Amino acid sequence: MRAFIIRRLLWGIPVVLGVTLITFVLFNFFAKDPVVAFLGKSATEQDLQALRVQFGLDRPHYIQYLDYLRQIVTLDFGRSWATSEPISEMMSRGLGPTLAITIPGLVATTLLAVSVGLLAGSLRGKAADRLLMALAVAGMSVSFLVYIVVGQYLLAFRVRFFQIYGYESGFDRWQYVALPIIVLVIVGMGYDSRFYRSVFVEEFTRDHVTTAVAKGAGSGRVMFRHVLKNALIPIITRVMISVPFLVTGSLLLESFFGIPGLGTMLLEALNTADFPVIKAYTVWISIVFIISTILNDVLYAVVDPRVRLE
Amino acid sequence: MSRRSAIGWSARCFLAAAVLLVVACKAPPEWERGKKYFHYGMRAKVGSLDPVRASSQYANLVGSQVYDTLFQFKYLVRPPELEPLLLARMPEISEDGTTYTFELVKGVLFHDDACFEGGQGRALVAQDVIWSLMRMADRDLTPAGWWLYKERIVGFDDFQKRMNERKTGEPFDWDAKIEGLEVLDRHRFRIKLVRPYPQFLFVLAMGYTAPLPRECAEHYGKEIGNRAIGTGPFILKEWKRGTHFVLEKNPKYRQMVYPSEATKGVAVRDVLEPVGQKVPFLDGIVLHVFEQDQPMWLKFRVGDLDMAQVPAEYFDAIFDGERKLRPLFANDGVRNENVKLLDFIYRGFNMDHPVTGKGEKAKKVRQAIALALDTKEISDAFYNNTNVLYDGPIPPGLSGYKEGVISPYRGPNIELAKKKLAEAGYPDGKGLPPIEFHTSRSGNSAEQAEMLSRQMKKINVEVDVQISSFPELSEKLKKRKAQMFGLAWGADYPDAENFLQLFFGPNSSPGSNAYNYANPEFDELYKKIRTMQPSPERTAIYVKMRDIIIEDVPAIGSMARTRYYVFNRRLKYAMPTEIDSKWFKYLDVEPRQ
Amino acid sequence: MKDLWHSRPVRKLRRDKWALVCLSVIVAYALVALSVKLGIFASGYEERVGEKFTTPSLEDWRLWLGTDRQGRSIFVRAMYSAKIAFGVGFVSALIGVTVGALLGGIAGYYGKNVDNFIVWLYSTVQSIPNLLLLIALTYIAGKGLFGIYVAFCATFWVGPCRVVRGEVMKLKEAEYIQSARAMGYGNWKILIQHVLPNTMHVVLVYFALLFVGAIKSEVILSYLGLGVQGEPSWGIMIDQARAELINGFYWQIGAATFSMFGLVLCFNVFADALQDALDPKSV
Repeated sequence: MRAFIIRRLLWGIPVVLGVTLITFVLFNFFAKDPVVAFLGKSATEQDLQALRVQFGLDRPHYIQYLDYLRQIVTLDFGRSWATSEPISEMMSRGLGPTLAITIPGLVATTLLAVSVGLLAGSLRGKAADRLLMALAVAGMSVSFLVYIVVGQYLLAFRVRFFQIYGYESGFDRWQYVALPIIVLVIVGMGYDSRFYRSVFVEEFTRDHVTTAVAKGAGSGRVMFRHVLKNALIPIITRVMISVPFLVTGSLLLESFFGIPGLGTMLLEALNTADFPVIKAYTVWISIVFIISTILNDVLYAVVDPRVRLE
Repeated sequence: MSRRSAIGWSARCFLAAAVLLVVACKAPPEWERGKKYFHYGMRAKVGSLDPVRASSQYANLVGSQVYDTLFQFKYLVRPPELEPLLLARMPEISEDGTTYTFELVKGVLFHDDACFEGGQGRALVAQDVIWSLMRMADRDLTPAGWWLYKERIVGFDDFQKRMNERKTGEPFDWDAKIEGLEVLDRHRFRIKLVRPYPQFLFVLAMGYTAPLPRECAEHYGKEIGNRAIGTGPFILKEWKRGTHFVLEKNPKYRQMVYPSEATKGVAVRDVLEPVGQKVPFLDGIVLHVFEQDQPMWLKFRVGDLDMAQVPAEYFDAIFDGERKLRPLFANDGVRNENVKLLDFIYRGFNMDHPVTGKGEKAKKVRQAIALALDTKEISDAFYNNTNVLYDGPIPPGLSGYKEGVISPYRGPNIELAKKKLAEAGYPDGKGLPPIEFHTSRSGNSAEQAEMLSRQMKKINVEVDVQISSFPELSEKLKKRKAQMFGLAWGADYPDAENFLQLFFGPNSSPGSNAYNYANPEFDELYKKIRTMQPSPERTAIYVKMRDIIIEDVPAIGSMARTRYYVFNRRLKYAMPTEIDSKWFKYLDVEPRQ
Repeated sequence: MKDLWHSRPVRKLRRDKWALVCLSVIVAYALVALSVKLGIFASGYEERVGEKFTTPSLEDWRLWLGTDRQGRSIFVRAMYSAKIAFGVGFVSALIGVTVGALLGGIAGYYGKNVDNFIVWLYSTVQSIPNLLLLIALTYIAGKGLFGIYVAFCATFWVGPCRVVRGEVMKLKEAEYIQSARAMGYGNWKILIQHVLPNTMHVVLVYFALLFVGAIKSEVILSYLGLGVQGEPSWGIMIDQARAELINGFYWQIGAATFSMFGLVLCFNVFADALQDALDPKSV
C-alpha cells in the first residue's frame, strides 16, 4: 500500500504543475490589469508602473512563474496585495468559518440522505418511495440562489429562527451557521438521496440478501451484515468526492450569509484582482483534491479487502 | 422484516442529523450586554486603513472614528462648514493666500499601543502632522490622495519626484527638509503653497492626512493598514475581515463637547438635547460589512442595526407616495432623515472617439443622444423619483448651480433628437455604428443600461452594453477604451471646483478627466478660478464654465441622489450627513440587554 | 428509423408515461425557445407595458404575470428566457459531451501515453475549483453568451470523458472489436464506428445532465455579473428580483423560478427514464 500511496502522490506533481500553469496563464495574461484596481481616482502612468515594479509584474513571465513554483515548494505565498496580510494567516482564518458550515452540512446531508435512500430503497415501488423520489427530483430542480434568498427571507427574517447575517465564534456560531447548513442540506439532499436509494436497491436485490431473508435470518443482521456493509463503498466514495468542497466552501452561501470563510476570501480576491491570494488558493485546493482521491482509494481497500491497490 | 428495521435505522439517522442543526437562541454576545454599542451596516469591504490609502467611502467611515484630522465639518450646520478638530483655532493665512500657519490643540494623545514605549500613547506634535503629509509622496505606500497635493506645496513635488526616482535600496528620506512643510515648534507648523488654493482646508479635512505616529508606522511596516493608531474618539479593537469592525470608546479622548451651533431645520427631534456634554457617549461602534442589500435591510428590520441607508429597491415598501414612513415602520419607532448628496451621476463620452467624440458631427450625435435620454424615467424606475435632475456638472447645493435653468439638450425630445441626428449625417440612425456603453456591475446598473438602450432605440441608435467590474471599467477609462460610460462623482469637498476639474484638459486620462475633454476656453477659465476665493465673480465664472459643458455635452443626464437614512428607536441624536463621517461620536443609543 | 422506433430502449420509454409527459413539456419549451429565436414571439421583452410592479391581470396577455421595475412584462421576459436556457443548455451540453466522449474514447482506446496525457488533463481541470475556472474563463472570452459557452465547455467535458474512457476500456477487449481489428480496420474507424456508438447510453444521459447543469449554473454566473448581457434570462430575473421579495412582490422571482423549475424537472425525470431505458442491465 505504501508503494501505491507514493506512486499516487508522485502522479499528483504533474497535476499540481498543470494547475499552476493554467492559473498562471489565465491570470497573468488574460485577467484585468491588477495595478489599476489598486490605485485611486487619478493615478498616473508612473504610479501604475511603480506599483507594477512593487508587485513584481515587470519581471519576465518565466521568472514570475518560477517564483510561483518556489512559493509552492516553500509553502510561503507572501502577502495579499489588497490587504498586505500574510496569505497563510488569511487562509487559516478563513478555514474555520468555512468548515463550520461544510462539515456539519456534509455530515447531516449524508446521514439524512442515507436514511432517506435506505427507506425509499426498502420500500421500492411503494407510494412512499415514489413520493420521496418525486420530492428529491423536485428539490434538485430549484435554483440554489432561490433557496438562499427565500430561506433567508422566510426562516431568518419572517420567523426569526436564525441570525440573518454575520458570524461569531464559540457557541454563538450556531445561530449564524444553522441556516446556511440547512440550505446546504436541502440542496444536497435531492441528488444524494436518489444516489443512495439506487445503491440500496442494488444491494437489496442481490441474491445473497434475498436468500438470507428467505432463510429467515434476523432482519437486523441481514441489514447490517450485508446491505450496509456493501453499501459502505459507494457511500465513502460519495463522501470523499465532497471533501474538496469542504474546503472550497460555497462562495454563494458565504457571501449571502456574511460568513468570513475561504469562499468570501476568494470572491474578494477575484474582485480586486488579488493574484497572490488566487494563486495560493488554487494550489491548496488542488492539493486537497489530490489527497482526497488518494484517501478514497485507500479507504476503499480498507473497507473491501477484495480491492487490492496495485 | 427487513423493511421495519430499515425504517428504524432511518429514523435514528434522521434524529442524529436533526440534532446537528440545533437552533440556538438569539441574544447579543456577552461583551455587549448592558453596553451602548452603535451598530451600523456598510455595503462594501475595506482594504486598508492606512490613512494615505483611505480613498473609499467605507475606509473613511472606519478611519474617521479612529483617526482625527486637522478639520471636520460642523455636525449640525448646513450647508457644510469647516471647524478645527486637531487644531486650537482656524489657521492664520497670509495676505496673498499662500502661507498657512497652524497650531495644534495641546494634550492630544495617540491610542495606547505596543509600538509606543511602555505601551502608552504619546502626545501629538506638529512633527507628526508634517511627517504624515510626507507619506503622500511615497509611491511604495500607494497613496490615493496625491492628486490633491500635486503642484500645490512649495518643494513637495520636487521631493516626491526625487524620492520616486531614487535607486532601489536607497532609503526614503523621511528627515528631508521641504520648504513648504515647516515645523515651527512643538505644536505649530507652517505650510507654504505654490499659489492660492481656496479648497486647501477642505483637503485637510479629508482622511488622507490624518496624523499617524512615525514609530508605529515603522514598527508595523506593511501591517499598518490592518491597524489604526490615531487620536480619534474610538479605538479599533477588532477587525474581522469580511464581517465587522468593533470600535471601543477611547477613554483618553480629549475634552470635546456636543456642539450648540445648529442651522434652522436641522435642530429637530432630540438633536439639541445633549448640547455641551462631553462626547463620545457611546461605549463603542460595531460596523457590519455586507455584500448584499437584502441581509443588511433584514438585519435593520429586526433591530440588529441601529441605522441604515435605504436601498433603492426597498424604497416603495418603506415610504408612501408622500415620502413619509409607512405606518408599519413609524409604529415601530423608526424615524428617517434624508440627505441631499453632492453628486454627479451621468453618462459620459470619450471625447477621443471618432464617432461620438471629436468634431462638430460628433457633437451633434451627443446632443441627439442627450435629447433622447429620459432621465426622469431613470430616476423614477431606479431612484424612486428622489433624484434631482440637473444639467452640466454642478449639483444643487453648490455655488454655480442655478435652479430652473434647463439645457436645450435635456431630453426627452425625440423629434429634436432625430433632427440633430440627421444634421450629424445619420438620418434616422442610418450609418451610425452601435454605441458602446460601458458600465460597472453594481446594484442595478445593468438594468439601467438596458433602459438606456431602450430609450436610444426610439431614435434608432443602437447601444451595445458592456458590463464589467469597477476595476475593469476604470482600466478601460484609463486606457481611453470606453466610447460611452456610466459613472458617478461624489464631492470630495463642497466646492464646484471639484466637479469642474473633471473637465480640465491636463487632467485627461489616466487623470480624473475620464472624458478626455479638452477645450482651451474652458481650461483658461479653470486656471483662473483655481486660485480664486469664493466670490460672486468666481460664481459667475463657474456658471460660464457650466454652460460650456452643457453646450459641448461630454456628459449627459446629470442627477444628484437623495439618500434616505432610517434609524431604529434605540438611536439618539442622529443627523446624518455624507460630507464626512466624523459625527458618529455625537450619537448615543439605549443599552442592549 | 423504424428499427429505432421498435428498439428496446425506445419501446421502454414509450411505456413510461411520465417520461412522455416530461418529453412533451420539454418539446413545448423548445418550441417557445424556437419561436423566440425566430422572432415570432416575445420580441417585446424590453417594451414598457404598464406601470412598474403591476400585479397580474388577465386583460392583456402580457400582464399575466405583472411587470418588473421598469414596467416590462414579466411573462414575456420569462418566456424569452427559454431561448437563453436552450441556447446555453444545448450548446454547452453538446460541445461538452462531444469533446468529452472523443477524448475519453481516444484515451480509453489508445491507452499508454495518450491515456496518461488525457487523464492528466482532466485531473488538472478537475482540481481547479470550478467557479474560479468559470470566472477566469469569462475574463478571456468576454462576458455574455459566448463567455458562458467557453466557460461551460471547458469544464463540462470532464464528466463524460471519465465515464466514456472507462466504458471504452471495457469495450476494447470485447470480441467484436478484436475481430474488427483482425479484419484490418483502422483504429480510428473502429473507435468512431464501433466503440463510441456503444457508449451512447452514458453519453445521452450525460447530455441531459449537462443540459440541466448549464441552466442552473447560468443563474450563478448571472448573480456574479458574468451571465448573459442585455437580454433577460432566468438567472438575471432571479438576480434582479432578489430585492423585490422583501417588498412583497413575488411575481418576478416566482415566474423565473417556476419556469426554470418546469424545464429542469422534466429534464431530470426524462434523464432518469432515459438511463433506465438505456441501461443494458435492466430488462
